[in-house]
Amino acid sequence: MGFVLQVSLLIAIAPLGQGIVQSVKARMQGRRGPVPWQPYAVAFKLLRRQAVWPQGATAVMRSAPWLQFAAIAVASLSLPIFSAAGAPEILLPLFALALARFALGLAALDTGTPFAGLGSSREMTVGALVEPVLLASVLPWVLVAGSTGWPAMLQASLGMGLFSVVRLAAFAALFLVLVAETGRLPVDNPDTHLELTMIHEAMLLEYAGPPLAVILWGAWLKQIFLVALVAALVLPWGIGRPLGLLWAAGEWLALLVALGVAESLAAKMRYLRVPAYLATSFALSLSALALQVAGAAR
Amino acid sequence: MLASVLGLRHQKGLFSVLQHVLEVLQACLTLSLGLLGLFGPAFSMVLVALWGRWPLEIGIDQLSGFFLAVLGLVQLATAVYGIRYTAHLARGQRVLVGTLVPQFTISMALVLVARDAVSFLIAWELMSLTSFGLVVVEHRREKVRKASFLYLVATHVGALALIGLFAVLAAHGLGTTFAAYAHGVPLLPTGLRSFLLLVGIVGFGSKAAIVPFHVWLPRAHPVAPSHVSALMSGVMIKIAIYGLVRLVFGWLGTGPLWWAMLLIALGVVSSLVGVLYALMEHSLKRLLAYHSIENVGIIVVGLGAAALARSLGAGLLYEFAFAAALFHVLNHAVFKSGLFLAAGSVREASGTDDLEQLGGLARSMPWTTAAFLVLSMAIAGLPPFNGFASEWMTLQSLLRLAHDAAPAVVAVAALAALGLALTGGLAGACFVKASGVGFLGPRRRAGRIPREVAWPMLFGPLGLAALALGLGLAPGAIAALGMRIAAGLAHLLPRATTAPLALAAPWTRPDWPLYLVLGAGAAVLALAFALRRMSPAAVVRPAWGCGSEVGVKSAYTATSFSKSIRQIFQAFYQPRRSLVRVETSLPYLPADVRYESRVHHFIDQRLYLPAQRGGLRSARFLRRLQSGSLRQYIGYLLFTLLLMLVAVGR
Amino acid sequence: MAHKAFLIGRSLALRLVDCGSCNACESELAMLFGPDFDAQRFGIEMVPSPRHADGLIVTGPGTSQMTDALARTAEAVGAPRVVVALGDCAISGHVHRDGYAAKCGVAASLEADLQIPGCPPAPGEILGALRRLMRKGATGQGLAASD
Repeated sequence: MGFVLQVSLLIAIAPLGQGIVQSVKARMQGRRGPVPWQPYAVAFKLLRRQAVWPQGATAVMRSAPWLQFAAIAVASLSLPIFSAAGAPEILLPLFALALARFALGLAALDTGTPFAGLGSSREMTVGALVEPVLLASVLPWVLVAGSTGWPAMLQASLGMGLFSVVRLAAFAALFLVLVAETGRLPVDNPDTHLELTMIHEAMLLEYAGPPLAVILWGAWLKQIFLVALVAALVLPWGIGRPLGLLWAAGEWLALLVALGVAESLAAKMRYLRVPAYLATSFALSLSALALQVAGAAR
Repeated sequence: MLASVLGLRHQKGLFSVLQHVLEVLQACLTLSLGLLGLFGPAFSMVLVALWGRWPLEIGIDQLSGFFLAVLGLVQLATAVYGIRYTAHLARGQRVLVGTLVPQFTISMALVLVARDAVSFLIAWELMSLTSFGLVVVEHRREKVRKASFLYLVATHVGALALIGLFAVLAAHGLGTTFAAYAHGVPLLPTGLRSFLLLVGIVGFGSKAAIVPFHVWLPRAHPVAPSHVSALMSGVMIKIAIYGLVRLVFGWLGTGPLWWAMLLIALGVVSSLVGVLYALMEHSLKRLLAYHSIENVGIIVVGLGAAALARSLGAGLLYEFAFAAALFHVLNHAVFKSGLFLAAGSVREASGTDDLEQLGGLARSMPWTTAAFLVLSMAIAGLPPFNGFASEWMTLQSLLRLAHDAAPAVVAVAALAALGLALTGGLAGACFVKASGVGFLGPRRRAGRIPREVAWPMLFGPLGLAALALGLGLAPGAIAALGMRIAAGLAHLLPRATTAPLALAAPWTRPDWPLYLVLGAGAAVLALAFALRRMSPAAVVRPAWGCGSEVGVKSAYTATSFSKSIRQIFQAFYQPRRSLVRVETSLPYLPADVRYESRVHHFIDQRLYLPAQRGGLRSARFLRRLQSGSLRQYIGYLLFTLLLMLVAVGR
Repeated sequence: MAHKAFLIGRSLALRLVDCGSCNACESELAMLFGPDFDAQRFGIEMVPSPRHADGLIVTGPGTSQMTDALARTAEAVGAPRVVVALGDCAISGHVHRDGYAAKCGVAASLEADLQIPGCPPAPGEILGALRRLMRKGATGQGLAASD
């Protein structure tokens, strides 16, 4: 039951997470911006609108939003939020995110429009590069724990010093991946209206109404999932404690605010420069890894 | 089994039916023999002793049983497929295919049951020659002739290495039987065993298409008839893996760490090279062939991890990694043969397998498309399909190995894990391209609309797709089986060091994806049903192209899809492009634009081309010796005699 | 029109279609999303695809070259759909009315739910009109049935 509660909680607060980031960005631009719960209004409006399918689109495009949502929901099952004991492990969610990406990439090609194809190509390219980088950024914990299971990883994280270099370097690597995976500047620009500069958005141009709401909600869920993942890895002190959820919520809020601030400070990178950005994260995780190994050998 | 070999060369009416029935029966027989080997007791028997010295021995144990079962499974799918598929071939080709396919499959089975070097080599050679015959079926095309010649050369280089391997073993007094090797080889000095490993990697690696011995595969596999490609990519390269497993785990015993690291490195390089070239390929069958290299790489990484665990004395981890490799053998056989069969159907129905000419097949061939999509997700390692299960196991064993180990081991294991993750990501991109451009979107070529193929050609792909899902949902049984086989091979392992590792929860309950998927599926369906009532009924409208019409010309192609990967991995591909504009009086409106882009296959160019040139040059030099004049030859004789006298005299 | 009303009460997504505008309307519209007017705080946003939009915001006199494109874009929006005619050109064709390349604004092909006059209308006027539209939407009054 704990799992069901956990997924329901994450699904419920996912739009709020997006709303917080949007508010922060608006403040950084000197605006008041929308209320943090605006994404709920957007999603519920879309759910009541008419779905429009392009001619020739097959079941692939129609089922992709649900597949994507289900995959991300499965990913968020395997997070330690209430307790570590029941959470499975960390590789499955990474593969589930790949499934979500695959579904949308395929659906985009199903529309047959040039911009969707462009988005699919870019998303799959960036996705292919993100995958090893994401794995690398969780590796320090996995290797210390000797397992991809959450209980061992949390133990390992608790065992490190609060400001140990490994934790800091790995956190930096994770944060860079977080920015890339949530489709934010400098990797992707979520607010762009120009199709040629899009990555993720371009795949969704043909979706309307409820399916679009499902996709957006899925993307917001992915964002809060990744935020919760980073929080659980880097600062796991709240998990399994009384009022631990409050502690976790505080961490999520901090990370979401940091995302909004980081995005406001960044300029869009040329698409073909993205590998260099990801390589920075990769190098950080590898150095965290090397520090860990050197520390263990000493 | 032998009944179908006795070539039913008459390909008409009743005989043809009889032949197909026999092929299916043979497949069932192979499958049941495999299951017998897996679950029954191991046995072997001596057929005949050549000259009283070299016994020809056959037998099955769990390892051969596993590979036999894989063979039988794929054979079943291809045999049913062949019922309809071979009807489209020209008469001469039909006779050739009808005669050779049963011989090919039987020779593969023979390799698996051989229990001594002589029968192994005979079966191996038979397998190579029959598969060569099948590659060369369409010998009227020059490309096919070149590819088959390359295949013949590659396979004989491999066979030469294997003969050398067994000759060295015989020279050290170990005879020819596998039983003697299993007991005798581990006692040989480490240097010699290392040499044997290297020779074995050349011998088996050239058949399994491990980089850098892979050049023939993407040329040879696709030109064969599709159900033969399925057999070759799905099973034949696994036979070489079987040989490698036999050698490394059955005979060589525990070795130094670098053996395992070499295997892991070869595996990672193979998987990356395979997938990177696959991304640049626009012919569906060639793309699949490159993915075979990738998947063999993943298998070899699993084997390397197992070898590493064995060298470190981690018994349970060894079994787990070994099971991961074996599981991937089965999985790759399932999805790759299914994909090749589906690609064959596509080619049959639309006359081409060039992605740039396909598109829109989902509407006219829904079942083939469905099978291809499912199998694509399986090969891309996505949950809940079988490719995910074995890649997950391989990754788990690598990550396990890196825990609390020497820095070198950590580096190798961690880098291998990251390499596999990159491979997985690129494979995902590649199969979005293959199925998205090939099967979805607009039809790229006008003309006859391809029609869905007949049921025998659907049975294989759909059945294998269902199997891919089934194996992915319930991987526990196969994983346990693999671990049992590993334990059976590990009688060389010092049992004292097989200390149990504390296992993460999913290891102990390997069927967990099932619950997740069922739960998520049910929840999503319920949600979808609830939301359906909220909005007006959906409509279908033309795709929106920013106000202009969306047509075939503006759709993304396979070339444009993979362009950014080509640019990012520029150093690897060294792409060359040519842009030709046919100008008119208006400079910005050319009458025609031709764009061509090629990538550089540097292993072919840097390694094999110079070797080939060198070979030709030395042959030209040697030709001067053959002047044809009698006096000169007598001179050679005298000279040789003189040399021999000197040599003997000393 | 209660249905339509519920929809745009809190969130209004519009897709801009420039039908031969001189870009004055666009530059005023762009002001809406800066710090001064901040239309986003009321839930108004511009979206890249008509599929994502609740309606169109059309500028310009409706040149003949844009007739097809406008029709296609309008068709791409699912039901319910609002159409906003922004500026005098879009409402009536203004100085371009019945010229060689334009007719009489969007009225020729689409029925506008909201007309915002001005050449160009000031950002405050645009924002006020859009908010009135959303309020009207919330009570379901004065919106033409477009489906």
